[in-house]
Amino acid sequence: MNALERLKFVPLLIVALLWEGAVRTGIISSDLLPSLVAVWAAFVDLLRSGMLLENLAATLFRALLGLLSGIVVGVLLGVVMAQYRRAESFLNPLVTATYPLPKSTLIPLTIMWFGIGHFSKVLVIFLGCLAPMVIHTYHGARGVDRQLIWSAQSLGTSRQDLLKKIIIPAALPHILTGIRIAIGFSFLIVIGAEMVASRIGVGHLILEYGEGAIYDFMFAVVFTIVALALAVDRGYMLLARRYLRWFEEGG
Amino acid sequence: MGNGVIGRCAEALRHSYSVVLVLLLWEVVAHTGLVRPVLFPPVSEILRVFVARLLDGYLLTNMALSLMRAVLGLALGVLLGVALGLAMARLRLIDWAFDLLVAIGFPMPKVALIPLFLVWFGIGHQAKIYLVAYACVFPMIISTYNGARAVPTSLLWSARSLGTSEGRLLSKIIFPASLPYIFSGLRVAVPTALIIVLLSEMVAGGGGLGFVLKYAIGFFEIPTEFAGLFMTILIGYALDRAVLRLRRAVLRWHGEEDHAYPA
Repeated sequence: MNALERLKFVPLLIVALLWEGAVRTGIISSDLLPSLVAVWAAFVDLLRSGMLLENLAATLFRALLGLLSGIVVGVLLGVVMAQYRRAESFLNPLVTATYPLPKSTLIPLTIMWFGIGHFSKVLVIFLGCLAPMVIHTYHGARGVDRQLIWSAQSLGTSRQDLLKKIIIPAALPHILTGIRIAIGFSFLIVIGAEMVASRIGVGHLILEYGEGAIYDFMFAVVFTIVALALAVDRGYMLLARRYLRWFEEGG
Repeated sequence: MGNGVIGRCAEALRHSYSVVLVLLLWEVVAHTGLVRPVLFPPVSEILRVFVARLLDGYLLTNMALSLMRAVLGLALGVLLGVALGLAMARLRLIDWAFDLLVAIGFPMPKVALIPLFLVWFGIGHQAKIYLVAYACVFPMIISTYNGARAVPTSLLWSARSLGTSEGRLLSKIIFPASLPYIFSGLRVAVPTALIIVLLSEMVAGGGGLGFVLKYAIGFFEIPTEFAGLFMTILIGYALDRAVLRLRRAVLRWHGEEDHAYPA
C-alpha cells in the first residue's frame, strides 16, 4: 500500500502518455484530440496574451459575487426559518416548490430581462447557491440540541446572543457543507451561462474555440478550469477543517 | 373517501398558502402594467399557454426527449459508477489506478466539456447521453466506494470464515450494505443528469426542454418560456420522488433520508 501511495501520480502520467502516444501515432486524429504539447503551447500563449486572465477574471467575479450573496442571504433565511414558526410556514412551501428547478434553466429568461452582461449571470448563480444554503442552514439550525437552548434561555441569554453563540456555531458544520455544494454550483452555473450567451468569460472562450475547431486552445482553457475547480475545492476543505476541527464533510 | 380528497386538497392549500399568495401577487403586478406585459406575463396567461402547448404535444415531445437522454445517461453513469466504486473498494490496484483521476474529475464543472463532447459525438443524442453519464459517474463512484468501505469488517470475517467466496461476498453482503450510500449518490446524480441535459440542449440544440427554453426566448414567447420552466419543475419533482420511492421499496430496513438540490 505504501509503495502504491508513493506512486499516486503514476496513473495520471500513464493517461497523459497514452493520450500523447495515441495522437502522435495517429490512432486518434489530431483533428479530434490535440497533442498535449500543443495544449501546453496554447496555454502559454493564452497566458502571455492576457486572454486567459481577462476571461477568468470575469468568470470568477461573477461566480464569487453570486456565491457570496447566496451564502449571506441563504444563511439568514435558513436561520430565520429555523427560529420563527411563521417564517417557516411561509418560506418552506416556496423552497419546496422551487427546489426541483435546476436554476441554470433560468439563464435565457434572465438574459432577456437583464441583458447579456454580469447581472443576469450573478442573479442565476445567486439563486443556485441560495437553495443549498437555505436548506443546509435550516437543517443545521433546527438540529441544535434543545437542551442547549433551554439552558441558555434559563440563564437569561438574549435572542441575539443565543443566535451568535449557540445556534450559528452549532449549525456551522451544516453551513460549511452547504457552502461546498454552493461553490460547485457557482462554477457550473457561471460556465453554463457563459456558454448559453456571453461576450466574455471562460465558458464563452471554450465554446468559441470549440466552434472554431481550435481544440488545443479549447483544451488549455478546459484544463485551467479543471485545475482551478480542484484547487478551490481542496483549499476550501482545508480551510473548513482548520477552522472547525470537528467539521467532517457530509456532502 | 371523497371528503378525504377535498380535505386533503384544502390541507395542501392551507400549507402552501405562501405559494398561492406569490402567484396572486404575480398576477396582479402583471396586470397593473408596472412591468412590460411582454416580458412579464400574468400567471393566468402562462397557465393557458402551458395547457395549450401540453395539448398540442410540443411540451410533451420535448420533455420525452430530455427525459430519454437524462435517463439513458444516468443509467450508464450509475452502472459504471457502482461497478467502479465496488472494484476500487475491493481491489487495491484499481483503487490506485483511479483514485487520483476520480479526485480530479469529481469537482470539475462538467458543463465545460459540452463543446468537447459535441466535437467527439456530434450534436445528436450521443454527446448529451455520454456527457450525462460522465457527470453522473463521479458521485456514484464516490458514494459506492464509501458504502463498500463502511461495511463492518466483522460481517466480512464471519462470511469468510463460513467459506463465502469473494463473488458471493460482493453480491450478498457488500453490495446490499452499500445500498444506502448508493442511493445518496443517486440523489445527487439524478438532478445532475437533468442539469447537464438541459444545459447541453441549450448550448447545442437538437430538441428537448433545454432547446425549448432557449428558443422561446429567441422568439420572444415568454409565456412558452414559463410553461417550459413549469414543465422542468414537474420533471425535477417527479424524478426526485421516483428515487425516493425506489429507495423506500429497496431499503425498507433503512431509515434516514438526505436531500439533493439541483443547481
